[in-house]
Amino acid sequence: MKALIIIFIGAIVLLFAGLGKSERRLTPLVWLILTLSLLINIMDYNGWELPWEAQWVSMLQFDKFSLAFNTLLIFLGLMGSLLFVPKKEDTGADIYALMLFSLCGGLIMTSFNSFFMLFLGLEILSIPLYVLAGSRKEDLRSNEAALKYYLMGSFATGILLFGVAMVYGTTGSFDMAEIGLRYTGAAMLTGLTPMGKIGILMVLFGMLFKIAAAPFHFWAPDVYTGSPGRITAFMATVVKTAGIVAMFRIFSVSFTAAHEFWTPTLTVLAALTMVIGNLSALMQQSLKRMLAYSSVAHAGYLLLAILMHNSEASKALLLYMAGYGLAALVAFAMIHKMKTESGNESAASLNGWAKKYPLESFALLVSMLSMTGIPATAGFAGKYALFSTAFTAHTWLIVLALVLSAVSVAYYFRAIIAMYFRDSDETTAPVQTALSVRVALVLCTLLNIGIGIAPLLITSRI
Amino acid sequence: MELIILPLAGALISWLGKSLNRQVSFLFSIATLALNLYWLSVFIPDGTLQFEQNVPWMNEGIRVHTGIDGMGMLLLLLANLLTPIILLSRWSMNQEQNRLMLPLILLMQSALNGVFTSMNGLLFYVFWELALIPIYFISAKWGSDNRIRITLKFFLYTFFGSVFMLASLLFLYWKTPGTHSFEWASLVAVELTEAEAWWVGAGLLIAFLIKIPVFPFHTWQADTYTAAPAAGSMLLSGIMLKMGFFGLFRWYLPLVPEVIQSQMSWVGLLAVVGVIYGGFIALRQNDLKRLVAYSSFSHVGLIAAGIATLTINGFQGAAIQMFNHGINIVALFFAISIIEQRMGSRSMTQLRGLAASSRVFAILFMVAVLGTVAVPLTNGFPGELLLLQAVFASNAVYGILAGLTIILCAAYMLRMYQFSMFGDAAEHQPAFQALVPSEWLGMGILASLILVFGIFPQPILDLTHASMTQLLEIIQERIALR
Repeated sequence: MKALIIIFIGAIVLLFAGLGKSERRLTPLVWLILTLSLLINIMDYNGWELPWEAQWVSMLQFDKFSLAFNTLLIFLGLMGSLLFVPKKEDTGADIYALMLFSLCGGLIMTSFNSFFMLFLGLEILSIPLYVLAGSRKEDLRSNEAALKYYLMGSFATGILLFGVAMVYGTTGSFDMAEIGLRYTGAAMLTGLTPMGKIGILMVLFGMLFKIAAAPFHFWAPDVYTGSPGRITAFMATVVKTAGIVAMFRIFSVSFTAAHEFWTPTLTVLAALTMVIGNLSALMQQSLKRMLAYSSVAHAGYLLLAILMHNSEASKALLLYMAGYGLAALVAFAMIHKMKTESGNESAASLNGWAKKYPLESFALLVSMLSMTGIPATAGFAGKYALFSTAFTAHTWLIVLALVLSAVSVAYYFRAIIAMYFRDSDETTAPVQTALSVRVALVLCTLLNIGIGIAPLLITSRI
Repeated sequence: MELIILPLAGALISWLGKSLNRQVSFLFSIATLALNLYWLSVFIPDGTLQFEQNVPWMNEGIRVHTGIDGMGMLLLLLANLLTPIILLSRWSMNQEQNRLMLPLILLMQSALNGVFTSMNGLLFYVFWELALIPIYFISAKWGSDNRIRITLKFFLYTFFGSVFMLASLLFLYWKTPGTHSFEWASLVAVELTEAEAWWVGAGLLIAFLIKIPVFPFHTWQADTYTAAPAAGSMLLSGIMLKMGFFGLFRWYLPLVPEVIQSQMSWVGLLAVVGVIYGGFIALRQNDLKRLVAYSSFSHVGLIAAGIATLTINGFQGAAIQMFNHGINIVALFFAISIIEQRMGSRSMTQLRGLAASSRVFAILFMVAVLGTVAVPLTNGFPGELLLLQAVFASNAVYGILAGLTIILCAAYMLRMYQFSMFGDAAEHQPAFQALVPSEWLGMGILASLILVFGIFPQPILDLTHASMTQLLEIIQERIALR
């Protein structure tokens, strides 16, 4: 709660600070706000509670689960702000403020206790993003991304809201636990009503849109490619984490009794998402688009956690999101750097990077290996935990996921091959990467390997 | 455990250190070998697991559990003996390349030692995959033309195999009682139905057969061996493919004894096909490295056929031949790398009369060739004898067909030697420089190992005898139980 308030106030302060001062100086203020809220969140996690906080429990509940995920979200936000050095024209205070507001929405989405707060959180998360996607005003692709995201996003929100209304109609409550009880009763005594079923499906579809799972993923490649680099990274990490955690909360608390109804649908959609994500990523020339599709593929793996919706799955989810978040941030940041320097997004622009940028290449190497799921990276630990949890219940789905992980080698390794094995024919001098970026790269890489070797660091937290 | 950490530390120090990087790497590899030899001297080959270490890792069932039995000790010895020699083969080469390559070789050694000591399924899988990364980098960075496409194929091929292995291990893991465990002993104790065992066995088998490789999963092999730099070919053929055999022994046979008889009869057939197929292709090669690659494919086929007999002679023959094949093939690749470095070519039609220029090299190379052909008193002989005997005893037709390998092997190996070493030197051929100390040291050690183990094969057989008998007992007990 305190972290949420600090970020919110910080964002407002930032807006006003942006009026006068040189806007470039604002970046350290963002780091300060995020670091502060990160520390306070960790203290919260360790049991620091102020008296007035208890009265919010009916709406927002900050338990170990949500605080662990909030720590991850804030950390990813902080790393995101460190890893991207914005261009001069992108340094407006409004952009930073909007990102912080969006992060607030994310924090609500991990801790809501009522569908009402879920909807609020989702909107607080999404509306700043619609603006942010189009924040590069002269860039047509950025405009396209904003429009697409806004239209599709509001449509999906509409579906979700409709679903919430149906669920309310069935159960007479917005409260998560209350809804869970009603559904349990209905499942045991009379069976689910059609309205109750449609409600679940619509909530499911609305949430699938947010995490870019098939068949609601069509917006993702265009929006990811068109949006400015750091916004894309923010969407792929913070937004995706918030979305999947919200889904986990809904399905593990409220809809768990009805799992016989939604499991078949979700199984098919998870398989579809994995296949579409991986196979489409295989076809891409642009690395950013490849990462966009690969994030669709990861959404497919993440749905396994929803399918299991038990405490083991929540641990696996935290581990997976930590590994994926760290890797994806680094990957998007390095591809952003590549694009600003060479002006295009194909893997060939990475040729000869290993010589030019040893640290940057190594960080990208580790993040690519992590996303593939090679041992000794957090990505492997996460994939293992997730796949293992769901193995007995969904054996064939896991075998499919494993095979597709092997397929993903083919596209993730394109970047590695370009950096390490191909020489560049041009001889432009390397552009020094900013200190903040290098610090974040080292931190992300070390954490990635560290979590890979000792995953208990993360999984013992929930 | 120390055998894993020591090379890893060496890799890090040599990678971060600015200078002296080959000396540091070599020192660490020698230290690892020394430790291994010390452990060998206090090792009692009675089939038990020794030097055990066991600490929890992710949970109670996923532990860092390492230990060494006779077979593990043999392969550790092979890996740690060959690594310093592989480092020696790089001694006089491009120092700029060595800056990165030597740490990768040590990293590889660390992962291989991990594979050969793991007694926990997930730990085994982790090291199994980790071993793939350094070799991929070595081959894809410093290989010859087309290396990027070829090595990616290799990586994809083996990675595909190993995900099926992971699926099989996971299946067994969830069948273990209580809180579930990846410990070897728990996985072995799992009882499966016929159908389950068939799938689990197939998943494990595909990973190991691709790694060995057994026909028809060999299509990555010749290209990769040829495209990789010499050190990479040595690592791949000398040590890495032994991971496949080791996997069969430790993680396949005792885990699914229900189906090994039926599955192994297929493996035996494929292996014999591979023996002949590889031999005939090797006869027609012009590139020395490609020739050796196919000869290796043919030889490992015989080892696989020996394992498929499920008899003590087959197992023991496979064990001793695993070790000796590693030494022989590294000696051959070493010799080819020496030739290539001096003459700039590996083509048999372009090389002539090298023997006249360097007698020492001619003798050392000859020893390596004879070892591969399995002439009596070289190390190839006892293993091949045991293997052929075992194969013949279990299936006479296979035995006769596999016996062809000796004739074929003599034909292509001696043809290779004759073409490249004898005759008059071609006109424009550059002079063959005398061997530098690191080269004759490396080749000399290998050649003497070939002779020593040819004359005294018994220590190797003694080392593995107890663990092989025990393995066979476990299998037979489980089969009899059903």
